Amino acid sequence: MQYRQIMQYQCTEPDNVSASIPKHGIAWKSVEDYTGIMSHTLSIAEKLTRNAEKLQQAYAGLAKALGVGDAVGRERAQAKIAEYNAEYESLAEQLRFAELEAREIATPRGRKPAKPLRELALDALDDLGVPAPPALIADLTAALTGIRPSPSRFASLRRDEENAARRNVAARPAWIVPAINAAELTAIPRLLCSSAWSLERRIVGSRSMRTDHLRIAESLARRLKQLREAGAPESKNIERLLFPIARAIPGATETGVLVDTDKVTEAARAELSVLEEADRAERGEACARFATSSPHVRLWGRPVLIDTAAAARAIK
Amino acid sequence: MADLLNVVARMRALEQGQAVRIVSQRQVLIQPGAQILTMLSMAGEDTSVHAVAVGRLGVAPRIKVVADPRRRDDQYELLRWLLPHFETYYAQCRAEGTFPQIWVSSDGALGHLDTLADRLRFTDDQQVQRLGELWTYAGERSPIAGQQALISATSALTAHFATGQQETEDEHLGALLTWIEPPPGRDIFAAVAMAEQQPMGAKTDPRFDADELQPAVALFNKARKDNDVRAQDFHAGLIQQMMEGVIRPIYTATQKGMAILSDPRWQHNAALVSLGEQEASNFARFMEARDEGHRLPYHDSAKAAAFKIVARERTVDNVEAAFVRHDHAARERGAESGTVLRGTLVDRQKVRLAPRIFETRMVLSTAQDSLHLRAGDELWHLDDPKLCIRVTEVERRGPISWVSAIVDKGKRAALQLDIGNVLDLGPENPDWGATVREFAQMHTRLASAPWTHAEVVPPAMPSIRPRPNDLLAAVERLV
Amino acid sequence: MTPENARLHQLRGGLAPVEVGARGIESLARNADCTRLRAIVITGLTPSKVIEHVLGELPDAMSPFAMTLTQAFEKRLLSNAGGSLLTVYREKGHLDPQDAKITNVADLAPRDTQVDRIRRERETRRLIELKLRGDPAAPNLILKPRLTLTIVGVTHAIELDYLVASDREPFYRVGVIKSYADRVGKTNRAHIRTACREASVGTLALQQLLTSLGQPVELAGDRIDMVLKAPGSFTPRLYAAQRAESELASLTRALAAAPSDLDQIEQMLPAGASLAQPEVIEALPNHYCSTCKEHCALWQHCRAQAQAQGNAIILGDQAAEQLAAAGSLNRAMDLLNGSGRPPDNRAEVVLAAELRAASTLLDRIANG
Repeated sequence: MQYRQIMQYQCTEPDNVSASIPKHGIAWKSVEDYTGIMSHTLSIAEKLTRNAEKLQQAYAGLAKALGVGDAVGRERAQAKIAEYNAEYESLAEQLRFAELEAREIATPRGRKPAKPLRELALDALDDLGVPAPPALIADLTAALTGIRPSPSRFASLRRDEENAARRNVAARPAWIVPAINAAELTAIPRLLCSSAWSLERRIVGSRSMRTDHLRIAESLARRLKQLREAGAPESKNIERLLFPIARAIPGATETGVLVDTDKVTEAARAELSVLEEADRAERGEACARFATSSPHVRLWGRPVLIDTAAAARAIK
Repeated sequence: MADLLNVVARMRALEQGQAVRIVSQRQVLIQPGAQILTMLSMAGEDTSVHAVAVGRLGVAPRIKVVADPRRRDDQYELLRWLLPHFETYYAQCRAEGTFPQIWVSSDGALGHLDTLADRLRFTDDQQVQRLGELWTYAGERSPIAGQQALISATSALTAHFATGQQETEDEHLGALLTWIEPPPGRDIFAAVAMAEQQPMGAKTDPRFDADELQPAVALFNKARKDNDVRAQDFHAGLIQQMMEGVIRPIYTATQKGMAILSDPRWQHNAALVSLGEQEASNFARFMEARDEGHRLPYHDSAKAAAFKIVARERTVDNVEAAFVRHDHAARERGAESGTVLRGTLVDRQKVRLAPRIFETRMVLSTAQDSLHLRAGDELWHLDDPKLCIRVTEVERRGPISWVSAIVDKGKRAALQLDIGNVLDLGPENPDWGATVREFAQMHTRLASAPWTHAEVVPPAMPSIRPRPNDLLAAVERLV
Repeated sequence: MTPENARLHQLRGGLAPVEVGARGIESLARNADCTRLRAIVITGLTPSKVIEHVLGELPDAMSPFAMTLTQAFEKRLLSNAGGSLLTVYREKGHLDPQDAKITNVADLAPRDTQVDRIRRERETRRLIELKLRGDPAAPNLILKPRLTLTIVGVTHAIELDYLVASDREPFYRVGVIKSYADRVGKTNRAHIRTACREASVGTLALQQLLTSLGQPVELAGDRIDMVLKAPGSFTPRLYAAQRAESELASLTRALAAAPSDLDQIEQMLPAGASLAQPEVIEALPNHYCSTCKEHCALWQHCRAQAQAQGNAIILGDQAAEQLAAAGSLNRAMDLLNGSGRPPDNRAEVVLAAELRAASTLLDRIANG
């Protein structure tokens, strides 16, 4: 029963395994690693089984095509057989290695206690200070904690947060909410914010993509400086994260030279000084249009209208 | 007619189910130690070398493969492995006073080498840089008419054969070789379709990439990330096998192309002798410039570009002149297109203009209907470099044209010709030294940058002479 | 379903339409005489889809390495709020420091559902209307805009890489991002033409939008922007305001003929027939030529058909042109060899004489 529980949790909520099941020292960690490897081996075996089934079907197809003289069918079946054979070779090697590795259980790898995804996201957002895409949130989390949540999980997180907030918005001090478009006051699903931020901060105007980018550069540069001064190993990760962001700011970086945090900050501030005022004004105006909206709309934006006429005209 | 010649050749090839010869003389020099270089890049990574096979005609290739050419260190290791091979070969050619020749499979492979050369000579690794410089010789020569440094097997073969398919399809070396040596008893189209399934360029097949190569590379990279040396070696070995399966046939096909063109059935072509000499001289100058530390820029300056354009234009003229003299096919094509006057001598006279001043005149008749001749044109006897005539009149009567001319050079030789002799007359003998003289003149003229490339535009200086009433007539009088 | 959609649905024989996109539409202009290609694209299919779902064969594949590289290069330019793209425009002086208004349409509706696709189209249109009104909030860079192109009464979606306009410019230009290696004068010209053509499809869509808004089509201009990649690195190289007059003209001509093409196709097909039937595809007239291999997945089929029919195109475009008077390769062979029936007309007489003269010359040259 406990084994099945482990398998179930490993498949669905890997982040919560350690939090929900009590551990008992190093032996437990060996079992964890072993089941991890075993589950890996089993999944390859499942794939091989499916591959074998597909090959059988392809051969059956080939025999049928040969029987009726169907040249096209024969070519297609032969191509499929070649593809599945290649897949088989690859899976067979993977299985062989997985089985070899299963015989030598690796030194127990320590697993840090993992925070839920929402907590990780809120921490990253607080670090960044502006609406950010899931990929950046994931990268920053990975840089600072070594855990990289999959960006694809954020879409379901956002929906889960909205559903939970609808039931009881006071249940948590902060929710993961989408940024809001200044023009139409609708949600921008690909940009995430913390509901604890002011409305103005969560609104994205016409210049906000750029100003937010500059602010992200500033905050990462500040963080990098702190980490470098502390001699923290995470500084390398943050530098790797900051470099492409800083590269997109004229005068912030030089080729072949380590990131100069002061230079990045200076360049970002210089450009911000040109854009900030207009950006703030636009966001402020959008904010004012929310004056009579419900708390839910202020958090998740106005509902989206569907253009049915356009849908009718589209080719289908 | 030249166009139709190509079409008829292809029709004949299609009729016979086999490529037909379109020349009788060899059109390309094959250096005794010519190197065959076959490289495969990773799709999308134009400056990568995933696998390389290098060798010579009649020799098995030396092959090197990197598991993932996107990793710089591994890529540079492969390129450093190649350098001694080319350094030795180039040094040997230099010592022998000859030039290096590299054979690749097709124009696509040629472009890949050129791209690599341009890129590698700007890397920070000295050895890789040097390899890029050496390859730059071949790359820079490749667009020059008559060059013999970098040969694509498909171009060389299509200069000798016509197939029964489209020109673009001739770019596949396997398909081309199938036309030249079709498998007996097989439908030629079926055989060609089979041959086309084997990649022959600089890239692997996308389906092979998707089904086999990419999964193997991904597993190799995963093993590297996991620091699993055993797995790394295993997957690297698999990738080696896969890439060898692709690169060996390309190398073999290139060898085959060379072997076909080395066959003694191709007659000697004297035009190639001067081209070989030019190539050797160019190579010597190139290597001297490297020894002196002259860098090879990525972009030519305006001045350098001007020199290079002049050199190229001169080379085109010289190559045409050489071939029309020594290459039977070029001569016949020239006669057909009208760039070569093939006339029968119907009259020649020595006319006294003044005491001790004589003029030798001749009249030729020809049935050519596409002549490009006018008064004042200078023509040289293609079989006797001493004789040069200047056209004074061209008259067409019915199907025959009558060309009157004065002998400018080789009067004695002209007087020894018999009436009824058929003469082939065309451009002057190639003058390879003319480029150098022209460079000297340009060097003087371009000592200061012309106003078109300078900062300051000179003030307008309109002509003080009166404008002629008939501008066209005034211009024509200048000719 | 609108009547136009019903018509196309009938022609497709139940096959679901695909987003042919700019690439599919520009292929129409590459081979304007190919009825087969035009039928396929106008009805909302692609040659690859026909290969897979009608002819039952494996479609063409793109190498995953190339795909990864292309996606990575695009991501490099468009991620981080399009910062890299903005920087490259600033470095070349095409955008000023205050031209920093960027919108990514995909952020607003990222899913591949009909609702989100329509939202992206609507948002793109809204942003373009801001520019037309002279609204100071009009973006300078619109990333991943989604326009529509109406062909025979139905809209085809065209998802572009970006649109660009500084505040001082009156309207947007279409921009394409391509991971082709930029070798300046040595860049593969076919790649550049492809990029220009794809961008021109976007310009055509902009023209249609302008017309629908009662604005002059000249605002869309005839220039496009192209971003290529430096060889061996991800450094972007911008070619702004490249002329695409001829590409636009050929596309306009190709699309103008679409309605009559559709009528013609319907008349050609027997009652109840559709493009979902292999025999119908085979029966549609094609125009195989030497460039088909570059853009059409059906090229091998068309080549095999041309070989079986004895079409002179199998020897090349030049042969097809030179032997036009003969009508077919077999007839041309007869004229060359002096076999079969005598020349039917003056053109055949001349061709026969020229072919024999060329053959004699070839013998002299090759065996001399």
